[in-house]
Amino acid sequence: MIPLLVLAQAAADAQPSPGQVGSGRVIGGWEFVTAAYVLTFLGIVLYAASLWVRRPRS
Amino acid sequence: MPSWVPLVLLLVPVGICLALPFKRDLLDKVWLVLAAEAVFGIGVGTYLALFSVPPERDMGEVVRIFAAHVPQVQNALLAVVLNFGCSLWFLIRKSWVADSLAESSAEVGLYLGAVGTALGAIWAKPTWGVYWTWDPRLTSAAVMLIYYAGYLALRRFTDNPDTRATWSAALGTFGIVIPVTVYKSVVWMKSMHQVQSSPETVYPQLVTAFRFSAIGFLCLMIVFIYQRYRIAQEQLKREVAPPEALGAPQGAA
Amino acid sequence: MKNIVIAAVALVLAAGALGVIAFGKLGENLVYYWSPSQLLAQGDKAIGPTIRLGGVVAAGSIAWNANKTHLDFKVADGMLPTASFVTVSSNEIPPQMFREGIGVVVEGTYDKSGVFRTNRLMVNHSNKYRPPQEGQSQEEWQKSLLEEEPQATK
Repeated sequence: MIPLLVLAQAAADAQPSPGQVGSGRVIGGWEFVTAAYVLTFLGIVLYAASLWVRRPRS
Repeated sequence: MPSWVPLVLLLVPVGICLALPFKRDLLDKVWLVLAAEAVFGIGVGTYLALFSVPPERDMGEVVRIFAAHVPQVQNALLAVVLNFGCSLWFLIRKSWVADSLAESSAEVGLYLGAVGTALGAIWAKPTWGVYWTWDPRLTSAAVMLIYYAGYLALRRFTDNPDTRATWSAALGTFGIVIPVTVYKSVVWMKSMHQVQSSPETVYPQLVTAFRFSAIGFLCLMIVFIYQRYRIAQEQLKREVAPPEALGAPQGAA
Repeated sequence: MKNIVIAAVALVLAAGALGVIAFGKLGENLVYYWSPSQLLAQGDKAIGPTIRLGGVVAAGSIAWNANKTHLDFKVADGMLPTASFVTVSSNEIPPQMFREGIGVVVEGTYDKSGVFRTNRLMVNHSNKYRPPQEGQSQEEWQKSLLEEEPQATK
């Protein structure tokens, strides 16, 4: 990680360092991952609940 | 873990679906097995995707959404294709099993498609830079959601089971245009969305996580369609349909 | 019998619609973006309306202003130095994946001076997913990225 940062510093005027906007790499973004999986499980639970509510009662 | 391991799990849903035409009440007994495999597959797939798959070279952590987005949109397309098959089946044989299955698969396809598309938008923000753009893939996906929402709405407007089944089957048959277009849009037209990935273009750890999740969602889709089918059959019975409406064996009791 | 007719009509309509979508001129009329060479071939017709331009960020073409609020770069047909290109001027903060050699789609207007001004800059990802290589330096990584053809050149 340290040599990577040093190199990035050296090239700083030519290109942005890692994590900076336009660096070519997405850094972080766990909030999007969390949102995606929360939505997935919420969808499963809600759809399963809707099937349960509408279940045949005979 | 080699990436072929999760494929073993496919034996259960595929075997059950192949046996179903010969033993139509099979799911009454084994749907819980499929439900258990759904929990297992989605659970393991999610665990691997979140905690074990290394971040991708360009995308970093957000690549983990792959194992949730792709299985859900794939199974949504599968459900919609099933709706087409059942619609055609109804028009040819006037089977009420087909009508109920068509209704069920459209609803489950709409649910999976809606969540899958929303996940795509969440994934697009950190990678593409926008939540949405009207490219051919995204546009055709939106058309699919509207079309099948319309299909389900139309079914509610008609009280006569005969009319309802016939006209929704016509819609469902024509509807095959949509999943084919969604699937092929990235190949036929210039789009923002990338073309289909394959195990050759994806690193093995991610393939393994994806396969667990995809097979889990396949089982989940079958269970959901089965449960929704029972509701549809119940409704047909309530509507004082002719005796042949009780096409499902469990209706004989 | 009536239902068989309905099925046949629906299938014929579906096949016709798919034929139009797949092989018809639909793609040309409803094109999502133009490549740089297609844009240049339009001549004066391209000047004015809001359009999309897609291609590859040409190697060595990214130029930021001093406080990194403004960005100029070239969008090219492909990675070859001889590929046609259009100069793009953007006030938009680009997505993190933005770099030389990546596929981009920009939305904006092309003006008489031959500059494409955009306030919506999107980056696309290919269908290839790889883990980062152990011990690869930033420079090696940047270099490896330039060796492949991005999505937007298809």
